[in-house]
Amino acid sequence: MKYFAILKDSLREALDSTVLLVLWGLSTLVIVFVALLSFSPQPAEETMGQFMGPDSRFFYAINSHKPEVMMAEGSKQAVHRPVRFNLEKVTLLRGDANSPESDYELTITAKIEENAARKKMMHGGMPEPPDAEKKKLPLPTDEQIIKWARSPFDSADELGLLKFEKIELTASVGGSKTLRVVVLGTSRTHRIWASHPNIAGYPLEGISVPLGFQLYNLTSTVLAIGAWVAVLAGVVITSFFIPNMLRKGTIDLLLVKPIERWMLLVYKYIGGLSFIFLSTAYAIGGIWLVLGIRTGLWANGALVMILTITFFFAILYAVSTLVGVVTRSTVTAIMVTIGAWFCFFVIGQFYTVMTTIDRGEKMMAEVGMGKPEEQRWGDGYIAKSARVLHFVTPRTGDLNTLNDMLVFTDFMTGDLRDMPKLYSTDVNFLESLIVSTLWIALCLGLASLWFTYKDY
Amino acid sequence: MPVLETRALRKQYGEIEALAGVSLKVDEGEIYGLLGQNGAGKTTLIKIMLGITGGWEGDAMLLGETAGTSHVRSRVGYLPEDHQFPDYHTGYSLLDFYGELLGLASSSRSELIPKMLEQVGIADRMDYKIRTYSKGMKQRLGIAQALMHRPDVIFLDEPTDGVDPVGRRDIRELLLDLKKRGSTIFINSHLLGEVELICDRVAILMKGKIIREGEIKTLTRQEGQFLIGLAPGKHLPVTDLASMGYDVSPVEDRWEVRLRDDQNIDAVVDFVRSRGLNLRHLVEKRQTLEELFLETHDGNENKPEKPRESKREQSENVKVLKATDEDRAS
Repeated sequence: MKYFAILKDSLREALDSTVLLVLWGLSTLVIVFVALLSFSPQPAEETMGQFMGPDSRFFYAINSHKPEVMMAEGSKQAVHRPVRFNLEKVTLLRGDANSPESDYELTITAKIEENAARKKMMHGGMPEPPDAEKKKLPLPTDEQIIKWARSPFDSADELGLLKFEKIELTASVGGSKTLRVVVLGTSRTHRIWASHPNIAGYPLEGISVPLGFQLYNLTSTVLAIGAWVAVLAGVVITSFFIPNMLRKGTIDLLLVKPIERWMLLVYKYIGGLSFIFLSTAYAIGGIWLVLGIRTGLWANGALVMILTITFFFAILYAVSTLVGVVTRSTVTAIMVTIGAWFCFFVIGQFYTVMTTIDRGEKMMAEVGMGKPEEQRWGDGYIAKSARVLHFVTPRTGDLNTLNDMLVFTDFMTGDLRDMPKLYSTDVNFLESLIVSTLWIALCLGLASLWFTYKDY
Repeated sequence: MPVLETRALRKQYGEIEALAGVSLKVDEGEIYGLLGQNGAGKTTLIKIMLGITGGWEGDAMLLGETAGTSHVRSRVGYLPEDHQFPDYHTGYSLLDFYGELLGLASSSRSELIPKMLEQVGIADRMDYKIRTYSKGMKQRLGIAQALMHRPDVIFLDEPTDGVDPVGRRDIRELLLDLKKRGSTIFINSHLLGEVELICDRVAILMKGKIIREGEIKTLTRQEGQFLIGLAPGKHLPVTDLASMGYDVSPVEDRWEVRLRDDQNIDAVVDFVRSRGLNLRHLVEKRQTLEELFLETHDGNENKPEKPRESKREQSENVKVLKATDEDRAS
């Protein structure tokens, strides 16, 4: 009951701020913008054309968060002459024409290119072998061509995005092969169906990618910016809560109530979180609802982002609460909180860079091209410092990664259990959750101690 | 058992000694006034009683419990000096918020709040934001929030500050009504006239020490002291009155007569008339509370300050006080 009293009070205080109204107004605009979007399904040829080889749009989309897959596929092909795949014909085997649930037979040609074509290509970020231009690369075998051709279909099949029935080589004339592929539609196939976006009925020409991938890009961009704005606005609005509560003549009236001081502070903190929770729920819930209605894709996992963004804010608000209690200054609380946010971001980026350097150095060492251990950045003092800093500070970057994983998985397959199949990450989310929670507990604990023993 | 009791209460803010061994008792149903200059320690005493300030030494009991505990606070109402209500509230929502923190049920709140606001005269503005209230209205709202849960003890720090004369009268009547219902009221105020009108007892606090305490009528009493004036050129038979046992002394062109408990001014008047003297002036001498306060203040201001006791001496004094109380109890 007392908790609800403070919650209502915090909400009343937040509502008194024009920043909150602006934030809600912006959220409404974004929801209206998303509601104006629609997606027109394209012919089956356009969709199936996305599956042409490991360089195809679909393969890139589905493996965009698995760099090791892209790298492995690229390096496998790099030792052979390149093959260009083309979709020649799509034949309807069963069901309605151009329907994601129908079955199709595809006729694909695979043309082996000259060496020169390889020169322009980079493979998963790895440079081409140095002798690639000097010697003539070997021709890929039929088995290799079939393997490369089926690679995107296998990825889709593994995720249930379609059922890959069979592939066979039907003709081979010199460097040109003809393949026959049979694919069956599933309940998830509409997620990868090529679609054109329209805004308020006006088509955006030139964009035709899998529907799920479009929605992922749209949602993740909107939500990333939206979350940033919401958290920033939340920091500003809620930074007033504690210093206002501690004003002379105001705090006395609260301290004489039969409630423990630490409880008063923690309730006030939770009140601030509730504010950001409600704001985020409104924005994300609104986007979820209008996208679901417009596309039929109900990205329920994206709703989890309401919690992750609230948790992100909880980390910052704990800092704000501690600073607010100690200094009783709103401006100081805002500045220190934004400073802490920036520091966490920098530490996260610093750690990522150091980890990437470390991984690269180790890979180079494995192929015998590495530097001596004492010269490696990844083992140096700076890298170790980055690891220690990253270990002890809240992992706000990890929450961004988690949000991205949630949205990506939700739009691509609609089943969060597919997350490991779609996303590669070194992040230890449990450790991240524990460290961030401990950080919150530490800030609130110190703030409560200060508040409890301070004379007002 | 007293509702409020402190013994050798001390509070130090760094080098400043806000309370230097305050001992006082307030009984149930009393209206008790604490008088003192700014910085005398009045607000500190209240804040200690309410648990807003800690780190004190000595004993402080409220409603039979150690002062400041969460339980005891639920039975207390408080209006701080210079209060600042969150101005995003309306009068009603503020009382609703405080009522909820006090643990009042929703039904009680919706019944009590309009009544309370009616009593303090701002019911017609209860749905307006506090930022639109005048200073007097805020003060009335402050009184309402302090009284809404029918507390056993009410602490009011400058309750009539900023309130117009009619409002002050209303507040006085409200407090006297509460006293009738058995509430104990502790008031800090500079408005000595107000205090004099409603308080049963007062204490004068100066530099953290109580320098005078008692019932107002006792403190201001100059009972049995009369000034007598006669027609010009006439003289009071001082020697005769002295032989009759009256203490008479000339004061300018009048005479001051100090009566003992068994003496009566009527007898003096009769005696004067029997001598053919006509009275032109007869008045009982009495101090106002303000005079008393100023006299006490000036008297103490001129006293040389005692050297400050060391911490050890202070704690020994507390022990002695406690021991004395225990002896009394045994």
